[in-house]
Amino acid sequence: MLSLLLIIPILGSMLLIPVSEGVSNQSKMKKIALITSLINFILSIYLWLQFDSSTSQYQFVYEFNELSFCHFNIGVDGISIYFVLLTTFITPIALLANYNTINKNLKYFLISFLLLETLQIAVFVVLDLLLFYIFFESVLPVLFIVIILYGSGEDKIRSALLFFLYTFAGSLFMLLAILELSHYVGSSDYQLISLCEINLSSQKLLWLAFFLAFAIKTPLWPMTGWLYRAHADSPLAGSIILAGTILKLATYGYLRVLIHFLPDATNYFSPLVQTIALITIIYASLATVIQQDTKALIAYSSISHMGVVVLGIFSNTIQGIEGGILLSLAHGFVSPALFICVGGVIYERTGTRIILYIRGLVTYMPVFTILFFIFTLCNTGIPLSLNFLGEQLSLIGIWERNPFAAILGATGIVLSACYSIYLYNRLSYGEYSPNLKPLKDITRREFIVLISLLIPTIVLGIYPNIILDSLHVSVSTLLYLV
Amino acid sequence: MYLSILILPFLGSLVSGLLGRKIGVTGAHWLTCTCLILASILATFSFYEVGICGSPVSIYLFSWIDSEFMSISWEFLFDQLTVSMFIPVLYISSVIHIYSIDYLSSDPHNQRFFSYLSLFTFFMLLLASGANYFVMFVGWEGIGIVSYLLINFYFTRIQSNKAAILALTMNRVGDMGLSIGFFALFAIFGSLDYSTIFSLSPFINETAITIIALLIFMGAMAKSAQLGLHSWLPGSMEAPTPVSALLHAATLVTAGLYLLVRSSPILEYSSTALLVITLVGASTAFFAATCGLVLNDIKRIVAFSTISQLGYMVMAVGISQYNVALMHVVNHAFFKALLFLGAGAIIHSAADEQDIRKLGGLIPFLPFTYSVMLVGSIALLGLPWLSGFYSKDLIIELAYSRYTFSATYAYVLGSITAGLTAFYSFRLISLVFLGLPNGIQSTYNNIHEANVVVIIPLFILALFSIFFGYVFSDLFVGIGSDFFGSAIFIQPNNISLVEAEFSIPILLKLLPTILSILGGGLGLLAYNWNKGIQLMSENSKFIQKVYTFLNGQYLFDVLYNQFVIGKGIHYGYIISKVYDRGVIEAIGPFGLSNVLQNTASKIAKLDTGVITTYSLYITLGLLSLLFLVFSPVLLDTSLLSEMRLIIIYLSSLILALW
Repeated sequence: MLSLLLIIPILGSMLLIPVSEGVSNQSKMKKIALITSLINFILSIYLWLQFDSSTSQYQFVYEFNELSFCHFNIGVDGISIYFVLLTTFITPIALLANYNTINKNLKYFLISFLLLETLQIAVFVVLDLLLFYIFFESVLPVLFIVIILYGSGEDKIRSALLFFLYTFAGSLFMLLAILELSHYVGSSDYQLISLCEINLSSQKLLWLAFFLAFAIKTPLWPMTGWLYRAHADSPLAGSIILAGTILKLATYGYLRVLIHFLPDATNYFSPLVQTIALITIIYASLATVIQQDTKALIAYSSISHMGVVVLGIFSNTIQGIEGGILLSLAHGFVSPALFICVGGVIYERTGTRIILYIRGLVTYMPVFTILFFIFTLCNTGIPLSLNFLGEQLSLIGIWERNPFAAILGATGIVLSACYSIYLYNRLSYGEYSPNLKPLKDITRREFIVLISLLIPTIVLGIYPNIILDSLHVSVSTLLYLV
Repeated sequence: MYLSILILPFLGSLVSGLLGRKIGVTGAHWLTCTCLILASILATFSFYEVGICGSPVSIYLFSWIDSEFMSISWEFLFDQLTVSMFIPVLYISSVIHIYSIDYLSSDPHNQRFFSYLSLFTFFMLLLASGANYFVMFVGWEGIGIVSYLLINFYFTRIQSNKAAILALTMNRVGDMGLSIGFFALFAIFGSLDYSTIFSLSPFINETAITIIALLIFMGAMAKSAQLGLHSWLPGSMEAPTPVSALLHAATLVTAGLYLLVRSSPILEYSSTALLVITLVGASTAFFAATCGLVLNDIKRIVAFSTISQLGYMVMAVGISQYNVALMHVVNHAFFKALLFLGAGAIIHSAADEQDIRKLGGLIPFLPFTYSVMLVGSIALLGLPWLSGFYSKDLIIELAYSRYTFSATYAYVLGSITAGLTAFYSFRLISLVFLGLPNGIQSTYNNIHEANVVVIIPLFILALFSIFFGYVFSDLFVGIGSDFFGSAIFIQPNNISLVEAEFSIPILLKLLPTILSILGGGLGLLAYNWNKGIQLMSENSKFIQKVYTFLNGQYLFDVLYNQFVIGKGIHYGYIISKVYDRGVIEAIGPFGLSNVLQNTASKIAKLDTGVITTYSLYITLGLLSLLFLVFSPVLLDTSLLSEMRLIIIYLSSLILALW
């Protein structure tokens, strides 16, 4: 069944290939892509219902024995299943968000997003480190092409290049580490690696190499430069995928590789990680306060939220790790929603992303403003949203490890309120800007997209046990006995 | 029944907010008011059952967070403290809903307004009825958000926007403290349930308790506008007046007090935290009263009076008299709501004029409003047998009877504040109602008493302001009253009610009242009977300086703007421009590409096309090769492996930098 998840988007893109580009075929192509991704989503829900939360074993395991150079087997456990679900959920959202704006090269746009879905799901489900690397990297060229072809900014080529170079530079070290690890263990299979005892000094080197790759992807300070550029210049769907799922590849990498395979080094380096994460939180928050480009602002705010995620994940407590995963998911819902609000709804109507040009939107767009307000609040982490639980659990977890880290991490509570509410207030309230023509409120499509991102945020915020129940067992295997 | 108290306001809010177009203005009025009145009636029953009959109720809905040993559930606790909070919240909310029907009658956003008001009530009830700190926090944040929305109700006004942002962010500072408090609570107690924490707190290290208590107090400081985190409250007067009455006088600002009273079993085991609370409370009371002396905006005067009274309540918590603090919360809610609604009635009938210097001589025009404002004022300054007398004067007496330094500080400042309170209250009455009309004639031509929808709420609140203290003081603060049962915990050492009642000299007991009468008299004298005093004081350099200082509200805003906000934005600018797009960029991507490009161009330059140069390269290469081959002989063999690398590196470097 898991392999179906990987195959269906590819089948969808196969269907798209023979369709000729043309205005008459556009709605057909969009429908094919959307239906494919929705089928995949429904299938992943079914997968989740079938999931047995009482074991930490890999489930739905499927092996491709035909391949010889690596061990191509796939499976999910409690840690990866939610990332798979997030990917299958975000892809139709991304397609819907850019439903009407892409007219040129539409076919390849749709194909690249379907392909991205397969590749990302593959990262989360493969059970082999080398394959993990391959899929982890394979996301890059696709997204690179998406930014260059469909991006909107003036220096989109430079942004795409930076995005590519940054992530690729880090991954180079990861590749070396993987080669060394598979040389040492004799296999790159997850289960074999996790059974193998590696001495601390080699763990440290391997850990640093992996950490560099994931830190760039997260991104942690000082490797944050690519994120806001990539966000600002990529098309809306690209931003959604980037914020919603690509950043979560790093979260998954921390959990799967660093904590699971290199526990001693993780324990050894955790003060380093905490320091970097704290610097990231405060640094990114302060930088967010003065951003004038709405998309860059939300990109910076994601950086600071990912800092909290890292704090939680490296806390070595169940609350912290579960909080980190919850916050990752919450960020995967809320950040795309905010991108849709500012980069989609507002940008499509006004043609600008500069905060100072827009004012008083509530006059013409009350329904939109309500949704925008709720998402802004979720971004600041108010109770009843999943973000709140994620943030609190992460910080509660890190308190047990290091109270000062929790205190400094909590400054994000104030700073996130400052920049989020500034953005919301500035765009929505005040007298209606004389530079703007009367605008239409959100359309049915935008409403459906936003509401479908809102529902999981709130429902899981009120009853997170839906997720937590299947996390417990898998997360407890990640704990390190000091 | 208990859950329907919570659900009814929420239902009203939801329907009038989301279906406002369907049900119309009148529909929204009827719906929200009906829901609120029903909830009030139910709350009265619950007060009887839980409070008077003494049978607390606990309702478990379902598990919220379940992670290892962390177990937090959607659980509600209706004990005496909760129902005592329900009474002011729901009663005042109901009358303010009714009052707003008239006040907002010409506003196009009635449904939105009523939706917000009901939503606020819902969150306030949630705050008071949660059985653990997380459920309480939902209400806590909820009221903050609704407060933001309500301050921003006139969203086109830049002042409203600024005040709303300030209120939200400043409250977030408190929320940060409170959140850190939760982390500490969880780390120490392993739970966030009231029952677990309160039953374990006697056995916990005092330092830990002190830290937790101070963090909780930080949250309460922001919500209850204590010194340092107060400046959002005067700004929030940009909201419509009924909002000021409900949120920023009667209920929202008492959330911090509720938190402190609820956490009494923690606070009681930390004398340090109690000391800090007393000092902050007393200073706040004094500070706000002095600021109130010089203000001219009618709503701001009442706002500073609110901060001052909140200071009294916090002071009462600091001297461990939680029941007295709660009594003052309830009393204050009634008379302060009355004052605000009265002020609203004045503003509304005087063509939105808020400056008291431009009013005056309103008694013949607004006799009823004058009476209720007078009732509110004398209840506020604690004239005997009105409601303020039973709580405010008691707090001051109790402060004296503790005989500690901090409590004496509180007594002295509390007594002086009582005098100041009387002064600014009567200054307001003098300038607005007595004396000569100072406004323009056209305003006065149109002044008329408000209609019956406004009069009924004012009348109800006036009745409560007069009689609530007299009727309920024995229940709440009477000697030997066990009304609160286990909802409030006071360490036996800290009980000083008997001391206050029987062993204080009568002069010290009456001092606040005497000072009040003096202050009130002075207020009437200076602003009504003998205005020469004002002229005399205006000529004094010293008084001018003091006036400027007080008018700047101790320059807190200047400090914050200059040093906190200004610096924060400055750092943000430096980080963004100098580091993120500067240094890191220069070292990272830009630097790398520059270095690569330079190196490439330098290597390219080697290709000169001159034969002699090439022969040099060949010679050099040959030499290097020879050197490498014979290096084991030339150098010590043990160094071989590293040295060879170094040599290759050096030779290539020389070549590159040629």
